[in-house]
Amino acid sequence: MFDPSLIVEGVISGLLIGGVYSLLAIGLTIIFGVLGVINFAHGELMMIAMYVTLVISNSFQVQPYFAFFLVLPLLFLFGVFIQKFLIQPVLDAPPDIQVLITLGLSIALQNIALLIWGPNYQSLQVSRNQSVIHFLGYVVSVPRLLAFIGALTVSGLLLVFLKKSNLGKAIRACADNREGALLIGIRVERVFLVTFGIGAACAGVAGVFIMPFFYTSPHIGLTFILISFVVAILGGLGKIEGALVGGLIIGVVESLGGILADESIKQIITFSLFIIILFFKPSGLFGKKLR
Amino acid sequence: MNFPSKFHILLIAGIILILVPFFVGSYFLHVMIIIFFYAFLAESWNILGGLAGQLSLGHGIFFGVGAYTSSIMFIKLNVSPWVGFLVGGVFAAVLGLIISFPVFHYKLRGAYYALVTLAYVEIFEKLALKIEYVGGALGILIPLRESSLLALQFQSKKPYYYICFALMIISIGITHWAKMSRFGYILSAIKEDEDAAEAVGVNATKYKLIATALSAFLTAMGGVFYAQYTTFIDPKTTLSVFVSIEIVLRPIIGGVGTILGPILGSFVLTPLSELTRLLIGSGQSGVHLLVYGIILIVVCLRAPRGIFVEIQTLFRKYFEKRRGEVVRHYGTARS
Amino acid sequence: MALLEVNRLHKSFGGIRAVNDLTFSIEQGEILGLIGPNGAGKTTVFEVISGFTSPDSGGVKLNGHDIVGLKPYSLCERGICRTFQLAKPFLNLTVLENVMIGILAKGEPVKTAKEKGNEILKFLNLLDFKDIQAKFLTIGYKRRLELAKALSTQPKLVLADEVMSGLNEKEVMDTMDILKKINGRGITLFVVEHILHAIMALAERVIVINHGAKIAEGTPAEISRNERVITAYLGRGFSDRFQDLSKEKR
Repeated sequence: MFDPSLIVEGVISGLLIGGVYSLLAIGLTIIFGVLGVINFAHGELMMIAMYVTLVISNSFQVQPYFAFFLVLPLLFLFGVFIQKFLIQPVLDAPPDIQVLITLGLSIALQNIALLIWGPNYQSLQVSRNQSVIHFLGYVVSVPRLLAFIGALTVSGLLLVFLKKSNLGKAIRACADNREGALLIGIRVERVFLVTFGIGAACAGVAGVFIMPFFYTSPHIGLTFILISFVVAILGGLGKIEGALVGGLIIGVVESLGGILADESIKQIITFSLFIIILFFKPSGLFGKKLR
Repeated sequence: MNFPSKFHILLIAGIILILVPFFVGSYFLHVMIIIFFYAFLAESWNILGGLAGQLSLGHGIFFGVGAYTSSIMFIKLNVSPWVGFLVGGVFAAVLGLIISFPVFHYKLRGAYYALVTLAYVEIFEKLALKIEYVGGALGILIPLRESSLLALQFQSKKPYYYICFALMIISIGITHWAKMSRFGYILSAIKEDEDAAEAVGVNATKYKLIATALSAFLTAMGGVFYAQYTTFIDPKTTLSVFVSIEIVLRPIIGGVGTILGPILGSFVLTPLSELTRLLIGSGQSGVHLLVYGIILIVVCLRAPRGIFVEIQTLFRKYFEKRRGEVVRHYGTARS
Repeated sequence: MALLEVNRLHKSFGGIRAVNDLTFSIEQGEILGLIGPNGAGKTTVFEVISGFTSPDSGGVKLNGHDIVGLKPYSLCERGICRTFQLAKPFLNLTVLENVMIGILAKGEPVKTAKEKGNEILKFLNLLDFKDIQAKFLTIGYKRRLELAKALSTQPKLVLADEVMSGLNEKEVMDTMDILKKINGRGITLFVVEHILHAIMALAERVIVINHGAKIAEGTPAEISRNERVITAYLGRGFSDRFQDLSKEKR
């Protein structure tokens, strides 16, 4: 049968990549929580960040982590731009229109990437960091560990920002009750801009951290958008802490699925899980029972 | 009648389209065929997506099921694709009922419905990639038999042209019937507000399932035609989210829920993709999809009801204004 | 036998008891009122009876048949139809089309649905608006359209959820007349209302609930004299006004 240590290593590796999923899904869930919009272009935002990381690392022959300092502000601004010119005008339109406009954006971004970088899978050229450390006798990949630490640090900082800062409190107020926030003088539109910026930046940073041990392609966003939906819905759409835990769970499930079966079976399992959650627990694992 | 009626315009357009193959070359015919083809698919989607308001991103499944069913029957059992139309359609409809029932039963609506159908199409694509019997990732090459109506294979493009034209007309007819009938009224109520519809006695799940089955059946017929026309199918080009997107874009840009909007959508978008293909050369470049994506965004922002409705409104305004001027002219003359 | 019997109904939402051991019955042909302070569970009672929510325990019987667990549309077929507190017309359909849906759902062809729809609109004085999209109606007419939609299902029992809230005095009077007219056709009415003087004038019998439990039941006159209702539910400030109302009624 299976080597039990293989399972443990699977769990560890799943937890580590799960941290990245958490960060990605936090971006999705915060946008939904505050704006009520499901961002179908979220995976493409991550894809763009992955390419930016790739370009920076390859052209300057530096470690990909340096891209963090460019990707974070770049994706934040891109998110603000999307909110200002695409989402804001249709916030009061029927929800289908919001789905469609982000879908249109995702189609456009996919094909811009296809035009610029071509259809092939690409990964970093700098000597790949294959190093591992041994932890209690188990092998742990260093790039994954770094991604995990980085993603959780960013998520933690974001949570502190939302809990402590005035702007963060304003964001939470808008998520709670939009009219109420407006009434007490919060500039809701500006909060929306910042929120979408933060959401996009989360996807961007997740892209930076995953790039050292992953590959990118113009259509890679599709994989990630579904994963981030699974995570966000498992944790309860709009709940940041939920997305944090959900990411770790999905990371482990997927990783174990990968041990037992191959890549495409793994995805079938994840997506089936997604559908089953939507059927039986649409408010997420930690959510109240829907009426 | 103050302005040419819709019926007259359509009649003239129909006659022109019937005569077209006698005057043009085979490339132009090919473009017309794919315009009709996508118009047919757009209209098929429109029954579920437009009339019933369910934003399905899963129509790639039905398309693929049609293409695969008829191709496998054609190759392994030597069954005519005409039978494939029926069997593929029935398979897709039944599959649509099976996968949609829990979705409707658990009341997944709006964006959630779109998400589930997206996940479904991904699952089915991955399954098709794994199953060797249906050719896996390599796909299926449909062998060329002698040119015959029975095998739905022809040397000339003209028969394809008329078959596809007929499919499009049939889909328009079905949508027209659906919209004017009891079925269509009830779907429009479900689209507006499902709870309110159930409160006045509408079994929303039942009607959404009927719309799904009908839409899936027609979409699968499109898949059958595609397989025989291109003679090659694989999961990516026939059973994937990319197929879904191609199907969804035209009715949405043209005018969701209208009868002629999806047709107009195809007449606008499909030549654009051919144009970019001619200008840029490669079919893989994705330029046409980039253009589609941008058009979709612009339509959402500026004309969320679709370009057909916008044009209709302009048209009406123009004629009303002209009539208004005439009246005023008479008014001054009489006074 | 009563038309509708509700027996020991319970329903909680995440620890909050919306309906608590509620028992009552509705007689054929009457107008029964249901009142109670905000959050007393009135709408939940309606949602349970009309099948939009299932109860945690307890029974609901229509003409002696158990109807718990049936879906809204099948309850509608059996003759129970509700209106929504926030009026839910089909906004982009015309007024006539709004009324046609309930008739079509019964299996009638489009032509018949148009004829019957027109009759209902005439009955409720809505005929002038029949070709207008419902979204352009004022709130008063939207609420009246809710009643028209309910009538289109040929109901035995209509659950009217605050059909008068947000209306001006004249509109309230009109709506009361309409409700009486509907009742005059032999249709039983179960009415939730905030506007107390309206329900006191309209209903033959009134049930008062608080925190999901029944605290009083009786004729409007009895209710308005009930100390428990006045103090525990309306608060002392309201008691004077309540006394006035019962005088008015006499």
